[in-house]
Amino acid sequence: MSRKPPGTPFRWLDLPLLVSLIAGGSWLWLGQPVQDGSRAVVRYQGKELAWWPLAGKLARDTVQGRLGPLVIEHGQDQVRLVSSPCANQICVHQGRVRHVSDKLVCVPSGVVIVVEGKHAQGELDAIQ
Amino acid sequence: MPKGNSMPSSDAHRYTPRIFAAALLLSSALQIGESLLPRIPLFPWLRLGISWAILLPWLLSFGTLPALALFLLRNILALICGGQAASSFLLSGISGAASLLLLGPLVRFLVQRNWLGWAGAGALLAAGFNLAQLGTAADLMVGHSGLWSQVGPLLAWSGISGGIVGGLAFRFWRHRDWESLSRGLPDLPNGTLASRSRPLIAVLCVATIVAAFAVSSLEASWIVLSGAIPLGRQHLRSLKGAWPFFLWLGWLHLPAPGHLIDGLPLSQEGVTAFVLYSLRLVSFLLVGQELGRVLPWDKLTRGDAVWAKGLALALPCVVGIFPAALATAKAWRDPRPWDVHFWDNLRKQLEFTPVQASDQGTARKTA
Repeated sequence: MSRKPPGTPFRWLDLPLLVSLIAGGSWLWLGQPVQDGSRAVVRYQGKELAWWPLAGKLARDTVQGRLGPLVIEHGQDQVRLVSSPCANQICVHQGRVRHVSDKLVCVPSGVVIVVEGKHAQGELDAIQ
Repeated sequence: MPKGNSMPSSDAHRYTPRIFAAALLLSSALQIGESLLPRIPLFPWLRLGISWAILLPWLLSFGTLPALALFLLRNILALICGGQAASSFLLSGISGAASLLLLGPLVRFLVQRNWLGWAGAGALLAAGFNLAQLGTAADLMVGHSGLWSQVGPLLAWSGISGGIVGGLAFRFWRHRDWESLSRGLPDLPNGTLASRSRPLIAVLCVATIVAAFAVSSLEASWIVLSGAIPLGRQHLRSLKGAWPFFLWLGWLHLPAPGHLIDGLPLSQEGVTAFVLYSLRLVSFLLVGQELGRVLPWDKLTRGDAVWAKGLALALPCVVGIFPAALATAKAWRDPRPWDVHFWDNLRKQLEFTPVQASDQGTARKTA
């Protein structure tokens, strides 16, 4: 009795599927305008926890996530996570980000750091 | 038993516990092994998902629900032995289950009609899995819809990784069938499924495993371990084969930030996390092996749930998965590394002695 998995490596539907996924995904990713951010906003469970301007000297701050403290380095037009209490350290491996809408995400801690641009600050000023 | 029927409910009966155990051990080893590889800078959450080289053909061969059972048990073993965070386990479990249930029947249908190949099937499943992960993370776990802006790189990566895994899986399976793969599974000492059932010990084992993962303080974990040692005392020697698991746990947890211990580059929080996860792992390895031996799987499952018997066959081998996978990785140039070296290495790690003739006969008969 032989149980071999059915199917072949490549059929006619594979090419349009693979091309549309790779091309469509790349377009969504690379087609967005790139603009340097002006501040880093920390959100925890959907609420804004803190924010710092990206300009200026490097500085480190600590925020409290679900699992414990996360150390964030900001300044010189960029932001990064220095350390996190999560097991996988995926957020730390993301490295530095600086462009508008870039994000550093730590899912176990429930913390997101979003880079925002001048546009967002301008809207806030207008409301005030 | 009906054969040739493409309905998942019938297909579920077409594999044996031995085949399920082999697939579970291989997919868990691949999953744990992949977690050791360096992450991609900027997108560290993207991974190839090489264990789908087992899961995809399993889905195509046996159907959606058996694939779901294999996927969830693989995740549980990776959680326990790979020291995965509970949030990663939830994220992967919810997303994988959703994508398998929604896309599994469609993928099978398209492949059976010869409209879709393994490369496309891998890509479609990867896209569904990654989208479900993004949705779960954005809406349930972090509560920030801005995460959906990552959909572009995720979709592009799904096409690349799914295509590669589908292609690799087909290459691997071209000259194999499920029987040939499971043939290498070590014969278990005393014939796991043939052991006489001891319901009271089995209940104590289940309670100990649940307690090990339910408690979060060191004191309580020591108490659980003190209960696990008498239950699994005959498996104490096998723990020496599990050293890579502890090395891995140390690498994951010891560098955690926090209050530094005097004279050491380690934090109290990191050491506490490492000890806690290690205590859980020791309790599971000791009691899990005993559970595989004493639980009356045949009675509990009434002969229908083949996956449960497969789990019983696989549990005693879990302790050797990681070292066997590491040793096998050295033989990657061999065209048949997994089904030859993996099983040999697993046998060496577990130091299995040949099964007595009567036990072997019973175990084979049950399998």
